[in-house]
Amino acid sequence: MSQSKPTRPEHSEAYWQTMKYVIIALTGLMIVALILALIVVLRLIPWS
Amino acid sequence: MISVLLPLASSILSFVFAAAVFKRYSTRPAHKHLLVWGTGLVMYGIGGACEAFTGAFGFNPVVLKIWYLFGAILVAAWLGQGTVFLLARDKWVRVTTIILVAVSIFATFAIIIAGVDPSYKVGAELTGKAFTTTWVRMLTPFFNIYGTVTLTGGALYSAWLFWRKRVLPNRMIGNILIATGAMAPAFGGVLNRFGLPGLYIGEFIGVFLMYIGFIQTTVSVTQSAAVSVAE
Repeated sequence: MSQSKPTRPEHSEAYWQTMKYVIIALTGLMIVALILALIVVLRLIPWS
Repeated sequence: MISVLLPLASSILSFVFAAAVFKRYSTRPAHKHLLVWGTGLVMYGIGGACEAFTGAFGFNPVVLKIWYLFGAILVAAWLGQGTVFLLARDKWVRVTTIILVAVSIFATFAIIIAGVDPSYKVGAELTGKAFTTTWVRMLTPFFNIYGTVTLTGGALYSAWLFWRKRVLPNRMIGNILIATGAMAPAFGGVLNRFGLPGLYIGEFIGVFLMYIGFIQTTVSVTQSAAVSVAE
Protein backbone atom coordinates (compact mmCIF):
# COMPACT_ATOMS: atom_id res chain seq x y z
CA MET A 1 0.00 0.00 0.00
CA SER A 2 1.46 3.32 -1.03
CA GLN A 3 1.53 6.07 1.53
CA SER A 4 1.29 9.71 0.50
CA LYS A 5 3.62 11.96 2.47
CA PRO A 6 2.23 15.19 3.87
CA THR A 7 3.58 18.03 1.77
CA ARG A 8 3.76 21.77 2.28
CA PRO A 9 1.23 23.77 0.26
CA GLU A 10 2.59 24.91 -3.10
CA HIS A 11 1.64 28.31 -4.46
CA SER A 12 0.89 29.23 -8.04
CA GLU A 13 3.04 31.57 -10.12
CA ALA A 14 0.17 34.09 -10.00
CA TYR A 15 0.46 34.09 -6.19
CA TRP A 16 4.19 34.86 -6.32
CA GLN A 17 3.66 37.58 -8.94
CA THR A 18 0.98 39.20 -6.76
CA MET A 19 3.32 39.09 -3.78
CA LYS A 20 6.04 40.78 -5.84
CA TYR A 21 3.73 43.72 -6.55
CA VAL A 22 2.66 43.86 -2.89
CA ILE A 23 6.31 44.12 -1.81
CA ILE A 24 7.00 46.79 -4.46
CA ALA A 25 3.89 48.76 -3.44
CA LEU A 26 4.90 48.66 0.24
CA THR A 27 8.41 49.82 -0.66
CA GLY A 28 6.79 52.75 -2.47
CA LEU A 29 4.68 53.52 0.60
CA MET A 30 7.78 53.41 2.78
CA ILE A 31 9.45 55.97 0.52
CA VAL A 32 6.33 58.18 0.79
CA ALA A 33 6.49 57.88 4.61
CA LEU A 34 10.15 58.90 4.56
CA ILE A 35 9.44 61.89 2.30
CA LEU A 36 6.65 63.00 4.67
CA ALA A 37 9.03 62.65 7.63
CA LEU A 38 11.56 64.83 5.80
CA ILE A 39 8.82 67.43 5.18
CA VAL A 40 8.14 67.39 8.94
CA VAL A 41 11.85 68.03 9.61
CA LEU A 42 11.92 70.90 7.10
CA ARG A 43 8.81 72.47 8.68
CA LEU A 44 10.44 72.37 12.11
CA ILE A 45 13.62 74.17 11.06
CA PRO A 46 13.35 77.91 11.84
CA TRP A 47 14.42 79.18 8.42
CA SER A 48 14.27 82.91 9.26
CA MET B 1 -14.01 57.18 25.08
CA ILE B 2 -12.19 56.11 21.91
CA SER B 3 -9.17 58.16 23.03
CA VAL B 4 -8.95 55.83 26.05
CA LEU B 5 -9.95 52.43 24.66
CA LEU B 6 -7.93 52.53 21.46
CA PRO B 7 -4.55 53.33 23.07
CA LEU B 8 -5.39 51.02 25.98
CA ALA B 9 -5.96 48.17 23.51
CA SER B 10 -2.68 49.06 21.74
CA SER B 11 -0.85 49.10 25.07
CA ILE B 12 -2.21 45.73 26.26
CA LEU B 13 -1.52 44.14 22.88
CA SER B 14 2.03 45.57 22.91
CA PHE B 15 2.78 44.11 26.34
CA VAL B 16 1.31 40.72 25.34
CA PHE B 17 3.39 40.85 22.15
CA ALA B 18 6.49 41.82 24.16
CA ALA B 19 5.91 38.89 26.54
CA ALA B 20 5.70 36.50 23.56
CA VAL B 21 8.95 37.90 22.14
CA PHE B 22 10.75 37.71 25.51
CA LYS B 23 9.47 34.15 25.98
CA ARG B 24 10.92 33.20 22.61
CA TYR B 25 14.19 34.93 23.55
CA SER B 26 14.37 32.93 26.80
CA THR B 27 14.55 29.73 24.73
CA ARG B 28 16.95 31.26 22.17
CA PRO B 29 19.37 33.51 24.13
CA ALA B 30 21.69 33.82 21.12
CA HIS B 31 18.93 35.64 19.20
CA LYS B 32 19.66 39.11 20.59
CA HIS B 33 17.29 40.73 18.10
CA LEU B 34 14.38 39.27 20.09
CA LEU B 35 15.59 41.06 23.23
CA VAL B 36 15.81 44.38 21.36
CA TRP B 37 12.41 43.90 19.70
CA GLY B 38 10.89 43.05 23.09
CA THR B 39 12.39 46.22 24.57
CA GLY B 40 10.93 48.24 21.70
CA LEU B 41 7.53 46.69 22.25
CA VAL B 42 7.62 47.59 25.95
CA MET B 43 8.25 51.19 24.82
CA TYR B 44 5.26 50.86 22.45
CA GLY B 45 3.14 49.68 25.38
CA ILE B 46 4.30 52.54 27.62
CA GLY B 47 3.38 55.03 24.89
CA GLY B 48 -0.12 53.57 24.56
CA ALA B 49 -0.58 53.52 28.34
CA CYS B 50 0.32 57.23 28.54
CA GLU B 51 -2.20 58.04 25.80
CA ALA B 52 -4.92 56.06 27.60
CA PHE B 53 -4.03 57.76 30.90
CA THR B 54 -4.33 61.20 29.30
CA GLY B 55 -7.64 60.25 27.67
CA ALA B 56 -9.02 59.06 31.01
CA PHE B 57 -7.59 61.58 33.49
CA GLY B 58 -6.60 64.59 31.42
CA PHE B 59 -3.31 66.28 30.59
CA ASN B 60 -0.32 65.70 32.82
CA PRO B 61 3.14 67.13 31.96
CA VAL B 62 5.04 64.12 33.39
CA VAL B 63 2.90 61.67 31.43
CA LEU B 64 3.45 63.79 28.32
CA LYS B 65 7.24 63.54 28.80
CA ILE B 66 7.12 59.75 29.32
CA TRP B 67 4.87 59.42 26.26
CA TYR B 68 7.04 61.62 24.10
CA LEU B 69 10.26 59.87 25.08
CA PHE B 70 9.09 56.27 24.71
CA GLY B 71 6.06 56.54 22.43
CA ALA B 72 7.23 59.22 20.01
CA ILE B 73 11.04 59.31 20.03
CA LEU B 74 12.52 55.93 20.97
CA VAL B 75 10.04 53.22 20.00
CA ALA B 76 10.45 53.05 16.22
CA ALA B 77 14.24 53.35 16.35
CA TRP B 78 14.61 50.56 18.93
CA LEU B 79 12.21 48.25 17.09
CA GLY B 80 14.25 48.94 13.97
CA GLN B 81 17.46 48.24 15.89
CA GLY B 82 16.10 44.74 16.56
CA THR B 83 15.97 44.23 12.80
CA VAL B 84 19.54 45.56 12.52
CA PHE B 85 20.58 42.89 15.06
CA LEU B 86 18.84 40.29 12.89
CA LEU B 87 20.10 41.31 9.46
CA ALA B 88 23.24 43.42 9.70
CA ARG B 89 26.86 42.41 10.15
CA ASP B 90 28.33 42.51 13.68
CA LYS B 91 30.41 45.61 12.94
CA TRP B 92 27.32 47.60 11.87
CA VAL B 93 25.33 46.26 14.81
CA ARG B 94 28.01 47.52 17.21
CA VAL B 95 28.37 50.93 15.55
CA THR B 96 24.63 51.62 15.23
CA THR B 97 23.90 50.37 18.76
CA ILE B 98 26.55 52.63 20.30
CA ILE B 99 25.17 55.62 18.35
CA LEU B 100 21.54 54.76 19.19
CA VAL B 101 22.30 54.33 22.91
CA ALA B 102 24.17 57.67 22.94
CA VAL B 103 21.42 59.62 21.17
CA SER B 104 18.75 57.88 23.29
CA ILE B 105 20.52 59.05 26.47
CA PHE B 106 20.75 62.55 25.00
CA ALA B 107 17.03 62.46 24.10
CA THR B 108 16.17 61.31 27.63
CA PHE B 109 18.01 64.25 29.20
CA ALA B 110 16.54 66.63 26.62
CA ILE B 111 13.00 65.53 27.48
CA ILE B 112 13.67 65.67 31.25
CA ILE B 113 14.85 69.29 31.09
CA ALA B 114 12.33 70.39 28.42
CA GLY B 115 9.64 72.86 29.45
CA VAL B 116 5.95 71.96 29.18
CA ASP B 117 2.94 74.27 29.22
CA PRO B 118 1.01 72.85 32.25
CA SER B 119 -2.22 74.49 31.14
CA TYR B 120 -2.10 72.95 27.66
CA LYS B 121 -5.53 71.81 26.48
CA VAL B 122 -5.03 68.44 24.88
CA GLY B 123 -7.23 67.57 21.89
CA ALA B 124 -8.37 64.17 20.69
CA GLU B 125 -4.79 62.86 20.68
CA LEU B 126 -1.60 63.62 22.61
CA THR B 127 0.83 65.83 20.76
CA GLY B 128 4.25 67.32 21.38
CA LYS B 129 2.86 70.82 20.85
CA ALA B 130 2.61 71.20 24.64
CA PHE B 131 6.42 71.47 24.86
CA THR B 132 7.56 75.04 25.36
CA THR B 133 11.12 73.90 24.60
CA THR B 134 10.28 73.39 20.96
CA TRP B 135 13.65 72.09 19.72
CA VAL B 136 13.10 68.72 21.44
CA ARG B 137 10.41 68.04 18.84
CA MET B 138 13.10 68.14 16.16
CA LEU B 139 14.61 64.94 17.57
CA THR B 140 11.60 62.77 16.74
CA PRO B 141 11.77 62.66 12.92
CA PHE B 142 15.41 61.55 12.93
CA PHE B 143 14.67 58.60 15.24
CA ASN B 144 11.55 57.76 13.24
CA ILE B 145 13.30 57.94 9.87
CA TYR B 146 15.94 55.51 11.21
CA GLY B 147 13.18 53.29 12.63
CA THR B 148 11.19 53.28 9.40
CA VAL B 149 14.22 52.48 7.24
CA THR B 150 15.44 49.68 9.50
CA LEU B 151 12.15 48.10 10.65
CA THR B 152 10.05 48.51 7.49
CA GLY B 153 13.00 48.30 5.12
CA GLY B 154 14.38 45.25 6.93
CA ALA B 155 11.03 43.45 6.88
CA LEU B 156 10.55 44.22 3.16
CA TYR B 157 14.11 43.09 2.42
CA SER B 158 13.44 39.79 4.24
CA ALA B 159 10.12 39.37 2.40
CA TRP B 160 11.94 39.99 -0.87
CA LEU B 161 14.58 37.35 -0.05
CA PHE B 162 11.86 34.75 0.65
CA TRP B 163 10.05 35.82 -2.53
CA ARG B 164 13.19 35.54 -4.67
CA LYS B 165 13.97 32.05 -3.40
CA ARG B 166 10.27 31.04 -3.52
CA VAL B 167 10.59 29.55 -0.03
CA LEU B 168 8.74 29.85 3.29
CA PRO B 169 5.72 31.84 2.02
CA ASN B 170 4.45 32.17 5.58
CA ARG B 171 7.61 34.04 6.54
CA MET B 172 7.26 36.22 3.47
CA ILE B 173 3.66 37.08 4.42
CA GLY B 174 4.73 37.61 8.04
CA ASN B 175 7.37 40.11 6.99
CA ILE B 176 4.91 41.88 4.69
CA LEU B 177 2.52 42.22 7.66
CA ILE B 178 5.35 43.49 9.89
CA ALA B 179 6.34 46.06 7.26
CA THR B 180 2.73 47.21 6.85
CA GLY B 181 2.27 47.36 10.62
CA ALA B 182 5.47 49.35 11.05
CA MET B 183 4.28 51.96 8.57
CA ALA B 184 0.84 52.45 10.13
CA PRO B 185 2.04 54.47 13.18
CA ALA B 186 4.56 56.28 10.97
CA PHE B 187 1.73 57.64 8.81
CA GLY B 188 -0.37 58.25 11.93
CA GLY B 189 2.51 60.22 13.43
CA VAL B 190 2.77 62.39 10.32
CA LEU B 191 -0.99 63.08 10.48
CA ASN B 192 -0.56 63.99 14.17
CA ARG B 193 2.22 66.42 13.23
CA PHE B 194 -0.14 68.14 10.80
CA GLY B 195 -2.82 68.36 13.52
CA LEU B 196 -4.97 65.55 12.11
CA PRO B 197 -6.26 62.50 14.04
CA GLY B 198 -4.90 59.12 13.01
CA LEU B 199 -2.06 58.39 15.43
CA TYR B 200 -4.00 56.19 17.87
CA ILE B 201 -5.69 54.08 15.16
CA GLY B 202 -2.36 53.88 13.32
CA GLU B 203 -0.67 52.59 16.47
CA PHE B 204 -3.37 49.97 17.07
CA ILE B 205 -3.32 48.75 13.46
CA GLY B 206 0.47 48.80 13.63
CA VAL B 207 0.93 46.59 16.69
CA PHE B 208 -1.93 44.30 15.59
CA LEU B 209 -0.40 43.65 12.15
CA MET B 210 3.12 43.27 13.54
CA TYR B 211 1.88 40.71 16.10
CA ILE B 212 0.05 38.72 13.42
CA GLY B 213 3.19 38.96 11.27
CA PHE B 214 5.37 37.75 14.15
CA ILE B 215 3.05 34.79 14.77
CA GLN B 216 3.06 34.03 11.04
CA THR B 217 6.87 33.99 10.86
CA THR B 218 7.32 31.91 14.00
CA VAL B 219 4.39 29.46 13.90
CA SER B 220 5.21 28.47 10.34
CA VAL B 221 8.58 27.13 11.52
CA THR B 222 6.87 24.94 14.09
CA GLN B 223 4.40 23.69 11.50
CA SER B 224 7.18 22.96 9.01
CA ALA B 225 9.08 21.14 11.71
CA ALA B 226 5.93 19.16 12.54
CA VAL B 227 5.56 18.21 8.89
CA SER B 228 9.22 17.21 8.74
CA VAL B 229 8.75 15.06 11.83
CA ALA B 230 5.63 13.52 10.30
CA GLU B 231 7.62 12.70 7.15
